[in-house]
Amino acid sequence: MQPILSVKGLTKRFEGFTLSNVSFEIPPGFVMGLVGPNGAGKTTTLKSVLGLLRRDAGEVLVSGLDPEWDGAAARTRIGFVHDEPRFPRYLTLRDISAIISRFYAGWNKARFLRLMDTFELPLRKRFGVLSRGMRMKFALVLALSHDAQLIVMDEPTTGLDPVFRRELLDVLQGLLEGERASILFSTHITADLDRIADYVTLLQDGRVVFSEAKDDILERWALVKGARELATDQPEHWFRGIQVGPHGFEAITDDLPGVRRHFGDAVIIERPTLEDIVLLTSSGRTNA
Amino acid sequence: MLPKLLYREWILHRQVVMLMFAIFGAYQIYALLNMDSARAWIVFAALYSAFLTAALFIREDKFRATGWTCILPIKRIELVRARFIVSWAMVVAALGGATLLAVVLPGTKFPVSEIFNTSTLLIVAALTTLIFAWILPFSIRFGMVGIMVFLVGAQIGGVLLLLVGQRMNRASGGAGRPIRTALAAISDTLVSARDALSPTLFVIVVIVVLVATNWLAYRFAAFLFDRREL
Repeated sequence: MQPILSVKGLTKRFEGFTLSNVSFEIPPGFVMGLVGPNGAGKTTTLKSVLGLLRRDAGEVLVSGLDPEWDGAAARTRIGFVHDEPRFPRYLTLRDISAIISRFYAGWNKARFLRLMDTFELPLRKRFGVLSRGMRMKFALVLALSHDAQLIVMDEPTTGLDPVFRRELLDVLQGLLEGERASILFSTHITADLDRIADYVTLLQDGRVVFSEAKDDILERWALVKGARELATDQPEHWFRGIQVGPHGFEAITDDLPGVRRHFGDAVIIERPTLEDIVLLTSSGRTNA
Repeated sequence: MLPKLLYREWILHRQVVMLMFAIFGAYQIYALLNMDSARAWIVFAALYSAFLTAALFIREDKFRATGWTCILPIKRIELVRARFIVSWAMVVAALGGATLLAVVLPGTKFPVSEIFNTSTLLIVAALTTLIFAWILPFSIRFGMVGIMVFLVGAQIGGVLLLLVGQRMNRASGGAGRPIRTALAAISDTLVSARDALSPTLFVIVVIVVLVATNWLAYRFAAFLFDRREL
């Protein structure tokens, strides 16, 4: 099956930062979480998918179309939710939707009105008076109203309170049930991915650490805890990240058989969370 | 695509366009009752209306409208084309309204024939073309910064030109006025060209040059905007 989104060897150079050789794919109907600390290259990747940046190397295809060369056709298939929706404050939701709906041949007015109703978004309200959560919901309604094949969301839950965040994720999950759309969801809040992601791509310093199914990641990676002395024995050989404290170390590995062989029963091995993986791989080696 | 983009411009800027036109109208009433030369009046009106478009670009920047527009399924060149058309439409609408005022306002000194004079209209079109050819590509590429750079650059350029003129004037012992001489030379060249061609052919040539200048500015703006990373 042709992936909805295919990114191969994406490279973009800025002064002081390079997004280097990023590759991943999203099959139709799945959710890909793009996770990593601030400055890892998540937004640069999303902008490249939208065709807003000129890449230095690599290939990006949205339903077989390159957004850099067939931008208009590719973006017809994309619904985008910005981390902070940036519509003019003085326009009403009716004005904004009137502008945007004209650009999409597949605009589904009935669905738009139904979603506005579901989210209790009044068309007469000005965008500027909406709360951050309501703005995010409105952006989501716009993204979901033109039969997009790919929904791209740039840190949509950042800055939302936990209750609202959970509500938004529930709504998103509910909306996508039975849909063919795929989602590319960037975040640095790994708990969001635990809830909705099927695949996870971890970016660190502009490079992909891994990109695979979430269940495979949690199966293959392991959290290793042991005495402080053990950490001095070439930890970088076994671990992808380690934190050494006064009473011992905590490390993350994707080579569980190797760790078992080397350390035997001297260490405790646990199933990690995505947060453990992200935190420890971004820490490299640290001494607490 | 163009009607959709023009609709976008209208929804985004309709209130400020109405306000600007109201202020422009009030100024025109004052000018019509006080100025003596029809040509000077229409040229000032053209300059004023050409710079009105800058207000739209400043608003685009302020509300970051370009960013979310480029996420829509449009080509950037289409957005540039819409900007050029909106800019020209504003100038034509403003001058049309000003001319209507000149006709209906009691106490105006200009006969309509003086305004609808071929050479006056060509001067207006040439001035507007020059302003747009300078201001649009850079404001489309660099937003408000582009307009500031244009205005500051124009001021500095003007000051430098005057200084160079003064220096050359002093060097020649006050015998010549180089800026005036240069302007007279341009004027003479145009007059000679007009005399060498038939009046109709001259008008056609000028129109072709102006259209070509607008087209080049549009392509240049599209080239710059295509390279803008959002």
